[in-house]
Amino acid sequence: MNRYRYIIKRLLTSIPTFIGITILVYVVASLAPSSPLEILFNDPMATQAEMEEMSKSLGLDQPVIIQYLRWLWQLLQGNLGTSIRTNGDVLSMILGRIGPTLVLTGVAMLLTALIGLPLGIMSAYKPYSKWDYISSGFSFIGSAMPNFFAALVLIYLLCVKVRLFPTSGMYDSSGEKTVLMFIHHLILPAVVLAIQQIGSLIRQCRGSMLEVLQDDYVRTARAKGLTEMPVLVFHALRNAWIPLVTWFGMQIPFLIGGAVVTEQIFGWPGLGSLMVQSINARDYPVIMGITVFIAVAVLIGNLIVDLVYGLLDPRIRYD
Amino acid sequence: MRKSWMKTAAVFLSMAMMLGGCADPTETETKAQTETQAQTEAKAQTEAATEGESKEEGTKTESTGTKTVTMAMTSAWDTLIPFNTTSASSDAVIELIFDKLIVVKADGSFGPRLAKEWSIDDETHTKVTFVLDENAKWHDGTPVTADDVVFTAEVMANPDINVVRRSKIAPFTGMIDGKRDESQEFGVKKIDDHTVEFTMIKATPLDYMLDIMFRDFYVIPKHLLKDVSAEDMLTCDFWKAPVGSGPCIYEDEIAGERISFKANKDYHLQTPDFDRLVVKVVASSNLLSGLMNGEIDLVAGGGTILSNNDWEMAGQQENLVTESVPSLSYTYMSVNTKRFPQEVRQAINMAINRDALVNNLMRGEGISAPGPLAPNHPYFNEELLPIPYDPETAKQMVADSGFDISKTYQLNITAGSELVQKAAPMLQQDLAKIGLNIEIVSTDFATLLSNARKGEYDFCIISSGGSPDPGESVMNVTPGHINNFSQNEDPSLGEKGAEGLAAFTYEKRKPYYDEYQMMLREQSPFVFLYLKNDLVAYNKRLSNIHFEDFSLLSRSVWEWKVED
Repeated sequence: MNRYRYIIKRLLTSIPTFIGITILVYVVASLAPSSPLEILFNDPMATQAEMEEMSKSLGLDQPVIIQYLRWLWQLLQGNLGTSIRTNGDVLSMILGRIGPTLVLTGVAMLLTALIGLPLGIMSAYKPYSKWDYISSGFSFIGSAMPNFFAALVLIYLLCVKVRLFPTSGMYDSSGEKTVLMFIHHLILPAVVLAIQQIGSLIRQCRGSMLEVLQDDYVRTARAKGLTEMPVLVFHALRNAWIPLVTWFGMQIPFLIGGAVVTEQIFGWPGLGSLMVQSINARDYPVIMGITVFIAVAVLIGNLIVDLVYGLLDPRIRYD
Repeated sequence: MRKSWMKTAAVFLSMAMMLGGCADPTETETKAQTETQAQTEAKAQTEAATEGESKEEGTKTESTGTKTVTMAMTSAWDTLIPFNTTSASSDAVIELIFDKLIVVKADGSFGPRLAKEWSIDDETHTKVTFVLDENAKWHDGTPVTADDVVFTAEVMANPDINVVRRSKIAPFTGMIDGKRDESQEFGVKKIDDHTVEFTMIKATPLDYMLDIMFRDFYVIPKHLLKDVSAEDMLTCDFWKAPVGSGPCIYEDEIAGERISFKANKDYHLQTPDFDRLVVKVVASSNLLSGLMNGEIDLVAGGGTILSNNDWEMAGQQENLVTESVPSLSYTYMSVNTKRFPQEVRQAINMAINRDALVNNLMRGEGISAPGPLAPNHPYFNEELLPIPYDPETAKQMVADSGFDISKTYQLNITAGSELVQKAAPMLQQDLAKIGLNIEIVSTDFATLLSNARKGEYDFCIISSGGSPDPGESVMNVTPGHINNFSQNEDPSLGEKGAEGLAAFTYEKRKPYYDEYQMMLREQSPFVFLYLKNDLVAYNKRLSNIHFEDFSLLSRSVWEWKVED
């Protein structure tokens, strides 16, 4: 019962946080120099009168607070508005981009977990061993290498030299759209994204496991005659999960917001590249629409992370 | 266990396809469901026509396969609404779907597109008449008529629709200060089914109108849009799968990734030599690798060109052809005339080592800019001598002017423009030699443009696409105009440009623009830097591509030759 009350309480306290986030983003976006019309009217024949007319028609001549309240009112009616740049419906634009982003970042996270966790655990289990040096080396390189550099190196090696993967996009130009073609295009950007994440996860996992492996209850488990695998998996790892879950929770904005650089380099049509285009064009409705999605995902993600803490460690109470 | 693993993998892959691959098929499906009846009929007719042809050329299709051309652009299109964008990447795809009346060429000539003939009346120089090609058809098979042209102009003039390109319709009668005045007769009218007349408020040279006003006047179909209300005009389903009369028929798109077209085998000018054209968004860092491994066939030109390094490496590839195409596009440093007096601006003009910019930065693939017009431009003033590089004299001029050199001045540049970012430190060094301390400030283009328009800057670097018409730069030095970046308050340059617009033949216009160029040099609101060649590459299986016209929104894809 406590848990349900806790969820409701958290959801209710999320509302002012959410509104605070939207106010902050709207004000910051509006304070940025220039307006959506500057880029829209980037034509030698454009006139001041035309810009003013359009500004009036779009309500951009109103004070920021009025513009924000108008946007909030629309949002409460389930309408994210219309893009100034494309005249498209913002919700449709975001829904069209969120799929590719979730697949790309989701696969990258999966790769990260599949590679990073075992390497981190092994590294902690046998510190200063060959395994530890290899995984630590990988971790440092992965964490230190910028995504764009890894992307360019891999494109040169695997796309240009070996011609194993395509350089960009989601499908080739044949007009066919098959699962295999999609996976073929997905592998390289997902790997590039995962490289950096793996580096970070290995460090995180190694740190938590090292701490837990020295605790008394692990020694007790071994003294009871348990073999190493149950000790690692059922005793040590379960307690090492809490910092790891925190780490995964911190990746939620990345999961939804997309990996801007990687999406741009690989021509992956995700939310990150839409955000960049919209910021460059000062397309406020789209910027705000993406903000809403990210904010909601983060707030719900944080709540889930807190609930998972309770599942992993029964000593944590929802008071 | 193994089976359940496989099941999980299958479910995961299906979900991945639904989420990612998906964006497109789902989008297309939705579009199909929301298409108007007329569009559905249009598609059916087009498909029937294409199928008919495939059957006729069955052997060819079977033996050679589908000829697909992939063109790469570094920025995605914003919209497919022709009158609601000023973005070059949007124009690059819009001009494939919709026809303009004419084609503007870099050599100053004009070619037919929807119109096969055009003329201006010799008496008043206010009536431009276009005779449309009777063979032109919409992609649904309906003939294109003068009604469509008039309808397009009416939509663009409609005050209830937010039209970004309304300035293109502003010079015609029935418009006052860029707004439709219903009390007056509209200046765009049908003479007969295939003749349309545009009446201008004031006499204007035909070349200017074609170069500046009609370059991006795309005609939209009346029969598919006439029943759409003004309120819904920008958001109606038509724009999700537009039907045009251009050389390419819209197939589908993945927003921000690609847009695919079928060739319009019934195109009135010439049947395109390809079956499909795909325009893909590719990062500039990936252009060369895409060209090398054959994923892309050509770069879209305009804003999408190769860097010097990539272009040189492309030249070494067996599958690629490279070209260094002289461009009308010029780059200049705008000087805020309210902060820098004329003698200081003249000194700055002399302080810039343009040869170093051209030879070191561009490795000779460009020329130093004597003004807004290149020396091979028909309106170039031959008496305009190259700007001397004389830092000593320039330094003396600054000292004599008593200008405050103790301050640090800002040079605003656009982040992301590789060439400009490399040029800026060279300009900084040049200006340091005459005693001016410069701080380079890098911002996004929107910020730079906004500051330039408001005059909140010292120096900023701007590029212009240029034009075959010499009047293109006049707006930028006309007091009161939104693009008067230098904040020039002297009306003489604008007046001289206006005089050039009141003369109607090349011979009569040239003296005015000769003088305009001299005055521009004298007053130096801009420090013209360079005209950079467009460095392009394309696959060897393509030929007959006129890259020089690309920046004028004329790709003439129906003329491209494509080998199997």
